[in-house]
Amino acid sequence: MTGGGKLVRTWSAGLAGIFFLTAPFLWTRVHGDLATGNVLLSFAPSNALQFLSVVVPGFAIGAFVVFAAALWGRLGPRRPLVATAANRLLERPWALVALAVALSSAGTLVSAKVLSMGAFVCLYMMLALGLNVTIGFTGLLVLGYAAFYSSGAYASALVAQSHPGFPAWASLPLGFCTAAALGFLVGLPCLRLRGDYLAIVTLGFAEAFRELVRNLPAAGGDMGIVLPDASRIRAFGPLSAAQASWVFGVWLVVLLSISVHRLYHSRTGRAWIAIREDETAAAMMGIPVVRLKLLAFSVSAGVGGLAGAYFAGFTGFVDPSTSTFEQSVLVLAMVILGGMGSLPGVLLGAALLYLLPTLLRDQIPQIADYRLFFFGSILVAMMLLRPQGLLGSPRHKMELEGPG
Amino acid sequence: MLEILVNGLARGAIYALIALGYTMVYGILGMINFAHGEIFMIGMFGSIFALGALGSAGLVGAGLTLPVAIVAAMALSAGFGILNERLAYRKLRGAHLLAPLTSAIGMSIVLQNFVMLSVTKGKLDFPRDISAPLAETRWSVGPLHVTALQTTIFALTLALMGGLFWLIQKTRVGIALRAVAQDRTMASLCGMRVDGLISLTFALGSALAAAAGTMVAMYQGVVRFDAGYEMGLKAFAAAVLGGIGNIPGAVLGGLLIGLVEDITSYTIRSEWRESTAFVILILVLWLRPHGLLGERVADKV
Repeated sequence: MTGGGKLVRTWSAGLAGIFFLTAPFLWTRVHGDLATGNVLLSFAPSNALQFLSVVVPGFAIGAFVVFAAALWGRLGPRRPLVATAANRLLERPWALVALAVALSSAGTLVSAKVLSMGAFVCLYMMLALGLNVTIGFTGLLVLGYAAFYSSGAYASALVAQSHPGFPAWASLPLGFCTAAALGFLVGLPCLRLRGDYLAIVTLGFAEAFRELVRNLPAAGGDMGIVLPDASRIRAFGPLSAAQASWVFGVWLVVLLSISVHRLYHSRTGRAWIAIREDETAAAMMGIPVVRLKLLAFSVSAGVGGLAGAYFAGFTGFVDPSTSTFEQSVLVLAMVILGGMGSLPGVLLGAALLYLLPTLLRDQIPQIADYRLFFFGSILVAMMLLRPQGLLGSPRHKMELEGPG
Repeated sequence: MLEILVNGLARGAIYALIALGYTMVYGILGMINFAHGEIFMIGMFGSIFALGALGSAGLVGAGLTLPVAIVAAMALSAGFGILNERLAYRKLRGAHLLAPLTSAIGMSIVLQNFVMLSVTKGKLDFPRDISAPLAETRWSVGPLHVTALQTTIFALTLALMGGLFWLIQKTRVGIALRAVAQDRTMASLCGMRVDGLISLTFALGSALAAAAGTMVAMYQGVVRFDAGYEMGLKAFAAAVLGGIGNIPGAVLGGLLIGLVEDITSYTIRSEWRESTAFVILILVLWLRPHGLLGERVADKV
């Protein structure tokens, strides 16, 4: 039983450590003393109680989900049911097209508010699909994905501004090409680097890009650009503008899913997997590593730009907040939660991480601020407990856990 | 012109202190401790908590106030650094490098939002009674003007770096640290307590960041929960510029980035100051990925 005793000691030492380290933040309040100009520290439990009243239930739900998942893993079926079913669906494009038709027609039955949420889910699904090409397929960590998304949005907004009447559908290829070109240019110097350097460079690029659009007069600074009506997604035939956005989004997601799935299972996709698993070995086998990494980078950036153009089309508004670190992390969390490299996984991750906070915020507005805190916790917990994500493959699990 | 150089060097000394933490962790674990900027931010808050505690106890003004605050901030940050490593990184040693990096990003978000939620969304003021005398005292030697605060920054940076070099180069613990950085398995076979030494690395790096945090809090007069993000990125750029994993390199890189930033904002446009470090980072990684002083490292297979 010495092992058990050690475990208890470690845990109690850890919890005591957490308590003492967080105590000054949680249990005290700092305020200026007008008489002397000094600051004073006083005991103030209200902050702590409010914080704990959200975080403790949140973590409890998380622990319950982990427990239930472990139980399901022990007792449930051996084969991953959801992932298998979803992959089968992806193998049959006609089934997906039928699904898209069904979803589009379902759009006529719901309110505009639900439709706009649906359009956002589609947007994040596109972003997650795009980021998955670099992170999931090729193993390149991109932390500044929002820059590509933002560049697509800005490209379509700038063109819409200078060419009145430029239609929304035409801005999609424009967004794709702009972002892909940008991705190519950023990737060119960076792809010789190891994964973690690449991550930071892309992050620095996103920061520099945001500073750029904030300081360029043509991009409207912090105010952003409002698109002229002609360049938004408009009412089309019997469909209202909201319904048209939803239908547009659904079809884009379906087309992208099919294309990305085909790409993954092509010769190119297999080369990407080889690079992800062992770059040196892949190069030895004659795979043109740099060229394929650049391709993955450009495709991924391009899909981000396409999503950006779609965003500009249905919201009619673009501003520098599209390229914040928060956006990049949100999409990253979607890919990691769902399962890097797994298409059904990242689609599920995107839907969950957009819908859960949005619905919760509508129900309990006080906890809106806690969203990022929980995202961060999810990233850490997933890496520690289930690095391959919700619907990830065992192959990815082995890669992520490494030999040690 | 000289004034710009002094300002730039003071800023650079701060970057160098933070960059040391990145470089030490990279040297020993081969990972980028993305949450290091947050540790710096926690140090900023730590100094204010300490000053507040001293103020409530009626102990302000004995001349020891600032040193006590710096030491308290360093202790708090060191604790957070150790906790961070234990919670988020230890289990992921030896895993694919995406795993610890993602975990570090998660930890950085958690820490930043923890401070936002538990302290304030806005800012806390650094007590002016402590910072103003230092910031407003100016010494002039010929054409050179230096404030007492800048002098404090230089002196503290020099002292801490000197201490660190002594620790790493001259003591038994330093030898053990270098051994772990060189070959972790071999070091543990030789009886070194690898886990403890890695915790020590995190503690040292975090304490240096907290000292920098206190200085920045005095320099700027306010403290915010999101102050660590940009500072962390720039210090990381400094570490890469000098050659990540290389301790003198981090110092050199920090000073250079500080100088270039101030020169840019003076000669070109002050709006571009914030982007300078990233442009340098991208250029360095492109032209000389191993940095100014770093050795060329082969890809890990």
